[in-house]
Amino acid sequence: MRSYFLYFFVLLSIYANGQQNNSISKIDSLITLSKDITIPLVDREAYASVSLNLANKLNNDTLILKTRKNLSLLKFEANDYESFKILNKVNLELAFQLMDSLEIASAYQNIAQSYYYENINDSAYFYYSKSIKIYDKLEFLQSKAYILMTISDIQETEKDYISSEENAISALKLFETFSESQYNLQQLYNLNNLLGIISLKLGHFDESLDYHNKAELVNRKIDNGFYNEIYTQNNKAFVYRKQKKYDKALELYQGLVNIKNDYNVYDPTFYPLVLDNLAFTKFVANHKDNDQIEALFKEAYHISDSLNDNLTKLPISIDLSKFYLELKEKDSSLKYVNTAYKIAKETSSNEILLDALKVLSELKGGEEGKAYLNEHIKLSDSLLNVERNVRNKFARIELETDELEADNERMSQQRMWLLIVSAVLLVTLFFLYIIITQRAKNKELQFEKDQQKANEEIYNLMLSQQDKVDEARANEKKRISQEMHDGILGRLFGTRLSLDSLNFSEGKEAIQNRSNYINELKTIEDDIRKISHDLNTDFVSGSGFMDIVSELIDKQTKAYQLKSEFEFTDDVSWEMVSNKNKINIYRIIQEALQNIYKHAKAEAVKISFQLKNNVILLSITDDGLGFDVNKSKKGIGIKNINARVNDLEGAVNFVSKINEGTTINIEIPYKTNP
Amino acid sequence: MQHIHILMVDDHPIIIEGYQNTLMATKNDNQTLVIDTANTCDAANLLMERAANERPYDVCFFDISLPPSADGKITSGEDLAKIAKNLLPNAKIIILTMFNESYRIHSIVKEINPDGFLIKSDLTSSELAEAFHHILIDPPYYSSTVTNFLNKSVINEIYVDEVNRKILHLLAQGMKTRSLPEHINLSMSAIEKRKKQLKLLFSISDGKDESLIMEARKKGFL
Repeated sequence: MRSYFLYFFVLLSIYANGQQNNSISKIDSLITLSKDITIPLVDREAYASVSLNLANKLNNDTLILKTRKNLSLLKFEANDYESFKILNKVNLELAFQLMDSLEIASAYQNIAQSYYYENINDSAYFYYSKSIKIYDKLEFLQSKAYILMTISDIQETEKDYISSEENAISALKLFETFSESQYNLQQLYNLNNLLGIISLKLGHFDESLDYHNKAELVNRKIDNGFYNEIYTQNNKAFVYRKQKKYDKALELYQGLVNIKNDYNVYDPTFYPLVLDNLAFTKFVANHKDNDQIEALFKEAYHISDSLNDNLTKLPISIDLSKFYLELKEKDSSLKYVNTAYKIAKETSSNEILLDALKVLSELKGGEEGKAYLNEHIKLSDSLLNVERNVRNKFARIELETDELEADNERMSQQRMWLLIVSAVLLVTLFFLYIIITQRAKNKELQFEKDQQKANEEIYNLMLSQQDKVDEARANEKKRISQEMHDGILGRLFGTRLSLDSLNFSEGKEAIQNRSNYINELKTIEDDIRKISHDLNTDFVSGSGFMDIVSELIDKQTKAYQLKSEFEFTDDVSWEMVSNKNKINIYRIIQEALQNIYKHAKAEAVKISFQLKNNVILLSITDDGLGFDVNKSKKGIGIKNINARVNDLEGAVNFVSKINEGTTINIEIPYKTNP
Repeated sequence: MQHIHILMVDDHPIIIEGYQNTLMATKNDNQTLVIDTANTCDAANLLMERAANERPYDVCFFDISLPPSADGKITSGEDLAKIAKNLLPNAKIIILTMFNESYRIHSIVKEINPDGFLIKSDLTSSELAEAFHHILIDPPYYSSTVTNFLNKSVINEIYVDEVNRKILHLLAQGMKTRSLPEHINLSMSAIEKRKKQLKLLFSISDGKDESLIMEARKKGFL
């Protein structure tokens, strides 16, 4: 069977090969074209669409998957995350159909990616977890490490620092095992940087510094590591500030300020931030040159204002407000804190919002201050809740994925069991069916054999009856021959001899003697006539089929202790009726008598044969219990009788009423053998 | 005066009457016939025993088919003839029988070798008279039928022994092969073997008993 299918497919593929090869190469070239970054993105998308259509026409699922993925990646490049997501969701279904784990994982990853870019972190996390499970199973470590890193990033964003740290470390460990490619080095840097940030958030300042130092070390191997370098400097300075090592922080900030021209063109927002940090560090370090600090703040603010970048403006304005609050310049402080408050609200920068609220409450005092304080407390509480919820959510997603996996496993196991059980059941049923049919067949065979045997017995009975008849005939012949020979011949001889001898004498006496002998001749004549008559009549009795039937009835009714009456007509020449029919008639009577004995509880039975209009009428009547002809479920006896009557091409009629006995009337066509 | 003491045995009185009438009518004037008659084996036996002691018979007429004696020892005229030979060595024995089959005639001649052998069916009173006188003077006297049968089988080149003759005889009577062992002191297989030999002997090609009987009859064995 399997080889047959294989053969079929080979044939099919040979047939379709020419055309298909053509289309496949076309699709390949289209994909190559769509990947060519020198061509405008719109054209590349068009190529990808055409290749997908071609693949659809070929109805080749693998090709469809490949071309659609390609198209989706182009959509991603065009920042059309929605299309990217939808295409990958379709691909996910197809990959499931094809049971292609790698493609499933890839589709999951892409979907997650789109959510990630849309900042829908929980969904992104959900799909990433699915994807990473498969990559883990497939031991695609590169993809696994990348996703771990992304997840860690998501968790960091959502302030689930512990999990984030854990995942980042896992990713870091994986990347460390990979080759030192520029890409891998960049990821190593990113991870170390991320870990530095996480450790800072967790309050592990030394650890954080360690990670940043490591990031620095890794960065040295990176070809274009300048920006990494300055960002790490900034981050390190921030850690130092938190550690209250202001000198070190200031030194780093100052260093960054000094090389302003190296980065300001490419990242103009960085410089104002560095300035702000420098100013704020000086401020918290209690440097007395407030004018200089104010100048630094102002410069930073001005630059950020001119850049019109709220995200840069926000930290600078809150820092400024704090600075002015310290200097008790309430109006200036209020001005900046309001700016910060507004931007923070707009951008949902909750930490700065909290700071802003705190500053505001201090500035306002009284009822208004209290209201701000309350808002601060409320926000901080709700933030805490959100954090906790997010953490729970991630845990839940993780759990759900695990549960889903377990469910799947359980389901597949259940399915397997179901399959096994149903297979076993099927096999059992099959065997049962075979056994039952075999048994039925055997029964039927046995029945036929029994029937055959019974028929044979009757046939033998009839044969032996015939033998008996023959023997009786022979004996009778012998007897008559003997009688003729010994009796009549002897007497005739004696008379002849005497008459002959009388020829020698004459006279009255002789005449008298002669007449005596002539009289003797007369008696001999009579004897001969008698013998002749004997020969003429059928001297053999007990010879016919009726005698066999009679004997059957006698024997049967005697055994059943029934009174019986048997009438038959001599009009039927039974020797002319075929043996098969005679056997059937015999069996019908036998069956009927058995039924009468078993069911009817009769005392007497009457059986009669008649011949009318060339139809043999057999009627069997009993005086037993009777039965409802219409209702009664037909027993095997009645069925047998019906079958035999059918065989005789006759008709049967059961006449019965409860407690009034039963009469079976059977009509058998009287067909004599030619 | 010649006194001739005669015993006549036949189960039909009318036959004895016929013998008596014939002999009385044809006897010589100087002969006196003293005739005892018997209708059964027992009576005949009794008469012979008595005669042996007192006055032995000169001539004995025996029919072959007779009702057997009460003790079953004597079953036919053949047995009586044997007894007569023993008891009355000088008596002339005449067998008169309805049987005109070769086998019976052969066996009677062989067993008894009677002084007279007459077949009832072709016997006339004059032949009986002639035979009677002939036997008294110069035995034996066999009727022409008997002589014919005896001559025929002598001419025949085929030799058929006693048992085979009996088998042929019984078959000719319509007896079935399977009941032959009841009449012949042989096993079924032995009988079958003999039948095969007979068929070979009579050159029967179709293997039927009927053909065998016909052929045997033609050749005078039946």
